[in-house]
Amino acid sequence: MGESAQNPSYKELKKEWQDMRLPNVAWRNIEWKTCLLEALRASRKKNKPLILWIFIDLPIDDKRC
Amino acid sequence: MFAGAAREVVFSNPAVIKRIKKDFIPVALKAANVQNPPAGKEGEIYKELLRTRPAPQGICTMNSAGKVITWSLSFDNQESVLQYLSHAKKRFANAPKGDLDAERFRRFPSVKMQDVLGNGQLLEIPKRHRKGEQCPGELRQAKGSLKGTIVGRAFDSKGHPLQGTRSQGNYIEDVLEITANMQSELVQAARIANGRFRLPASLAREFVANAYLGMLDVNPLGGDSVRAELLSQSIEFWAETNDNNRLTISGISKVSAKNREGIAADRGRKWTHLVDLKWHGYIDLEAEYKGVREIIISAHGNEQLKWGGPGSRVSPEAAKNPAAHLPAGRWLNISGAVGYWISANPQ
Repeated sequence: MGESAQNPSYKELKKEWQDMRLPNVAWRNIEWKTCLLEALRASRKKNKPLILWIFIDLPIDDKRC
Repeated sequence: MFAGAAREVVFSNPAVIKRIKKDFIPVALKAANVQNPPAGKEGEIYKELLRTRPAPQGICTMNSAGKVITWSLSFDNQESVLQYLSHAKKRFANAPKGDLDAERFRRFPSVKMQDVLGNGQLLEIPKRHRKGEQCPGELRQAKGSLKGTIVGRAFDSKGHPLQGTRSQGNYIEDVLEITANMQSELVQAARIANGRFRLPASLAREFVANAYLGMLDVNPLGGDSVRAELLSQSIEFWAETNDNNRLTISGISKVSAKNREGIAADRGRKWTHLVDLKWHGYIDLEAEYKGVREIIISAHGNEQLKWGGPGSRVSPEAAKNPAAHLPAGRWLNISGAVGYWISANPQ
């Protein structure tokens, strides 16, 4: 897989993309909100504190961080 | 480095994930919005983060009134992360909707910083944004863009993808944006082409600029945004028209960069990165070349990445206890075969 001898077809490439993307990486298990108002509303309703992760760029939506 | 290390060490830990899902409302925010709080009521909450923060990036907890409970930049060890969550939950129970002094830790619980006292001001927090008001945390994509996803894997000597996918040294996912302008340039080039033609530079660069292992800080084409010095770049992509509105894409790219030097604030930041790839894929155009329908493209090659090492601010101890070294992360020394796959569709 590291180096293909022959160029893959369109269908083969689509399958490779699906095979290489892992559906269950650990960090995807947390559903991060991005709106403070929405999060504070949920906090009041559920009586739970917020945990905020503050950093350069947003690493949600499967983005690199 | 902070965000990559935090995701790998803190937010990929099953015990931490379980506790957060049970006891907390998780929120991810851009440091830029804390640095420059937006207008409106939500901006007032960002200002509270700015008033109390110990550093531009970090992890903190907040009560229902928008008051910071406890900041931390790192943790004594993995177990300390769970202790931090328990500690924050306890402080929340004592003041779920009231004013609070913001506790701050450089490293929880052993290295405490001075608290920032509560200011006695409680905000009136609306339930939602007013009609027409844009949330500062909203993920934005330009009109007419194709949203692409790139997946990158490192391979072992036998050609098998490396596991340990918490680490962006082994596995990356990222989002890229094929703008309307890039699509327009491509379609125009395809219309006038007779057979093989050069892919517009902006589109080729978008592919290459996202194909690298590691965190945002080591993007070889990141320029000043990642404090990089570009050492070399060679990007050449070709497209070939077919009878069925499908372009066959081929290309080569080789980019290398390192940490820039000569700026005091960058001292201790040491990295080098070389990515050498051969590309192949397809772009489907709409009938009569009216637009771009889909992109699927892959790349294979070799990559060398070093982050940290002697003379850097990355501690040699970070590999043993990464939770205690989130701001600078751990050493990376990657050299081997890699593969990347990009898929893009209209949203």
